Amino acid sequence: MLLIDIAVMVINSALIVLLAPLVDGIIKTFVARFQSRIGSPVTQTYRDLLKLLSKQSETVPDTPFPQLYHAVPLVLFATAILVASLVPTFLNKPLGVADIIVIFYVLAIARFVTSIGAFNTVNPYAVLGAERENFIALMIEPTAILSFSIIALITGSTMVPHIIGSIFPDGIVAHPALYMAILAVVSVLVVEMCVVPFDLAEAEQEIYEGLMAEYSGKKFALMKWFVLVKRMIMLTLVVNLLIPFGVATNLNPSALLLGILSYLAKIFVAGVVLALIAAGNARFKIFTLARTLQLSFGLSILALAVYVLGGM
Amino acid sequence: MNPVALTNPGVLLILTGLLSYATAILVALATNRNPRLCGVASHGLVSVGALLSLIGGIYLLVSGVKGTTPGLYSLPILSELGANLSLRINPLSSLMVVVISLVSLYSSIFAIPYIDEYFGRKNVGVLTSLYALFIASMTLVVLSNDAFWFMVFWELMSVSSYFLVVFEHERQEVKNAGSIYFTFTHIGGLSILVAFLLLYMNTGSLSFDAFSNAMLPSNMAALIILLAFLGFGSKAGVVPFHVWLPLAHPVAPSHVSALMSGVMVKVAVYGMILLAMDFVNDPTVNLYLGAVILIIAAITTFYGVALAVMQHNLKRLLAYHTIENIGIIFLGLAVAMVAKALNHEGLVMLAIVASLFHILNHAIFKSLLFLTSGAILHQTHTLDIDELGGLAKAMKATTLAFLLGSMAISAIPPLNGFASEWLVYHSLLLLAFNANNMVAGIAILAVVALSAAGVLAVYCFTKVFGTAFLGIARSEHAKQAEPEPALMKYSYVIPVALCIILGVGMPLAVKFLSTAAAMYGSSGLYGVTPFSVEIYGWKIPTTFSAPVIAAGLVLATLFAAMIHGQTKARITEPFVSGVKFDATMVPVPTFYTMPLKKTLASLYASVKVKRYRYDIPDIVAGSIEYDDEIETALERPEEIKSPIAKSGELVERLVYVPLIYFSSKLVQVAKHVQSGYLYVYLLYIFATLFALIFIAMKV
Repeated sequence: MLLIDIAVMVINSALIVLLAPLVDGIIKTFVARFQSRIGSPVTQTYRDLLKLLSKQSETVPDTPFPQLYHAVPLVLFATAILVASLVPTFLNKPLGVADIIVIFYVLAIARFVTSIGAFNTVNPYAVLGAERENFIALMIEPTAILSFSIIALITGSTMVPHIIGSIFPDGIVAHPALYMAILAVVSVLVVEMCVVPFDLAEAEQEIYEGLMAEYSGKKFALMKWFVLVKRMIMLTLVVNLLIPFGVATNLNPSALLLGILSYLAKIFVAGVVLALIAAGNARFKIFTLARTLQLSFGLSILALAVYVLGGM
Repeated sequence: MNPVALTNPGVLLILTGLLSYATAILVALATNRNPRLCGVASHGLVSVGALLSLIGGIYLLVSGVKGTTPGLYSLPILSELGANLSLRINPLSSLMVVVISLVSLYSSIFAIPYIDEYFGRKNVGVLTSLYALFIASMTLVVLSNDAFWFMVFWELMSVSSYFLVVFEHERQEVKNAGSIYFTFTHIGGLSILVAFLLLYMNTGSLSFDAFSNAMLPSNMAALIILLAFLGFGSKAGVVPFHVWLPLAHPVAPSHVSALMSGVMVKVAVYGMILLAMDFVNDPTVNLYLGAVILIIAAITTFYGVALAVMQHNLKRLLAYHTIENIGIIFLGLAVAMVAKALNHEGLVMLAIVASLFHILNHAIFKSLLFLTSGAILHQTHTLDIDELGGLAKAMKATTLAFLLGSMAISAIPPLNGFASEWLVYHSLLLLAFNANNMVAGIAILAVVALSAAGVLAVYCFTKVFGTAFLGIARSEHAKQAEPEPALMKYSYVIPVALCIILGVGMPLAVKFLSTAAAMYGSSGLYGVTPFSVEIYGWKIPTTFSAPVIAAGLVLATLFAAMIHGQTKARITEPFVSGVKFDATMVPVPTFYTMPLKKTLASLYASVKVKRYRYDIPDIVAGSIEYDDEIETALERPEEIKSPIAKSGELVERLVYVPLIYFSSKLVQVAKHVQSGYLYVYLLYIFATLFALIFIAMKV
């Protein structure tokens, strides 16, 4: 039983980490098509990462704490791998390791480490990126935790597999607050995906990849990959919350096959939707984004009100 | 209560520890002519005493002894009323002794090199004897078993800490902080005294054993809880009684700040637990006042951290974080109160464990952070993070210790801060799951406050670590920083190790603390397996396995290192879009928190817009002028002349400014009564006399 649990974690993690560049490729290709360009091949992101990973030398800024500079990309990539193993992809098996609160706080490791890493590089653009990252997190995380709390109160647990398994109970219309909360959570998780209107912390043309500004070669590859994996994690959470159908609930081969195929299809569709968002919007200014995110918070508060008043 | 013999090894060890503190007081006063000897001898004695009572406390906690010792000292009338200085030994008080002794142990080691600052300038003997008295009185407060001695030791703790706060009384700032602290501690002590007297009126005894069985009318119970919350809450720093805390904690010597912020506020929490959970057993009162305390605790949590982010003085910033963490501890306590009213024993235990775990964790990482900032003060003579920077180069041990402490306080898993916050999250969520809808709404809003506080803590501590330890030295102070003395480095070892052990070994820690929580129920809504903590009460058990997460993180980092492999590094200048990099481009703290300041401006008050002018060489002729930086009064409290009511905090503007205004108006009116003429006073006397005769005749 324990072995199966570990195997599921490893497979989840490998699937998300390895598919992440492909989804990036899909998004880029579709953005190009929407803008009437041919665009790069779908596999371009893999090539970029492999090329960067093959670099044998790198440039390093003169920092007071060089060990931290070297550790940041490793820890980042490690949190990506770890969180990827905690999110159910095609198989909805309860992993008795962590709940949604732990997932958010493990992602906070990444935020903490990138922020002090940004200060460590002495680059003002990196610190600007860290500033945006932290400020946006303040707008996102309370909304996400509030919505997930409401979802947990209605479904009866904070464990992600349980939540996904009980969103559409058989034939019964669940609480309206549940769907409002899911909507609120999806609207903030999209912001965490680092695609064009929301990628303020990275903002390639504006602040030179922000947090990653001073990293090159293999370290840059790991950090870029982290961003892609984080996007993939959010995407997986979103598609499994919005469309929980098809996710396998047992180890039956046919169920597993259906699970994998439906997961791939959902991710593909979500990628196209993201490409639509990315192609149709210009990057937000920070306070505009904050105002927009306040709407999501309002929605989740409304969900709370519906939950509280609904049961009276 | 069943008696506990004084020969019980745990009790004996604690008493020996107290004796050691007493010796330290005498030694300190006797040797104050030779400050170096005085520091080593008396701090050595204090740390030996702390070690002894730490072992004693752990022994008592593990063996789960519950009862009272025979009286140690009796006065004629008092002992008839049940006040004969017998010690209250139970898992909760033993845990408090553990917390107090643990922090005192390494703070005393840290103090030995730290106090050389004062040699030849101040009387080190007085400092050290007050320090030992402070620790001893805190230990005795949590061991007291009657209202009389509790109040005696409580006031002793307050007075000794007051003198420690004003130790550097030459500075006006310190003097102001001291008087505000004194005022608040006075009001707080008074309301605790009244609460105890009300309990005495109802039971006819001063003994806590009698208080535990008190049958109180509801309105009396409510009054007692409110008074206790005012008294203990003001000592703990609950909003809106917190204003003294960020002023007083930072100005004390750093090892004392570590004890005040790490331990003294917890003694107040202990008092609150005693009153709310042990003495008052009124469901209605517990339900309604529990809900009120829940709201206040949620506000405290968010408010403390939101103000902390803007601070520039390192120790004041940490003091504001104490307010935040007290809020988190009170969240757990409030859930326990409400759950007790709902007769939900399992949830009471879960919430109490969460609260106690956070008490322990906060004591450890907050004292570590205060000690490391003490090391910074000792080496650079400044605490202004605008003037620090680049300390990682010289002060390696302090940098690592501070990094770990700030990750723990920012609730980064798998460290200890997250472990207890996770339990608080689940107590709140399960309260919402089990209670009626109104309470559920409040509990969920408290969850929101807690999550926002988590994000802001990361924001705050990345700012502090990034600008104080990383980057470039921004002043001569920071440039001259030298490696810290060896003893300081050794003093970090225990708290650093405990931050990791209590976090990764969360199941073990929870099991250890369950003995204390078992006082309030037989089985909690949680279970402990060797690798995880499980929360019951949901539809399926919710688990968090800290060791697995930690192992996963380590393995994944090794895997990432394997992918990365070796590279050749070449040092280059930072890329700043094509212009030459220079030191003025290194970001300052204000820059980092700018968007937050705009968003939460109403909390920070008196916003000044600074006009900025930049000369741009080479590219275009001329300069750019723009309004950008907002400066709040909060960031520069040193510039504020009046000690209170002008620091720009929201609470001060809402509560204390009107309070001071109206009381001065009242005095203006009342002063007409005191005309200063003799015949007017004679008139008053006659008027009173006639009034009394009139009343007497009526009766």
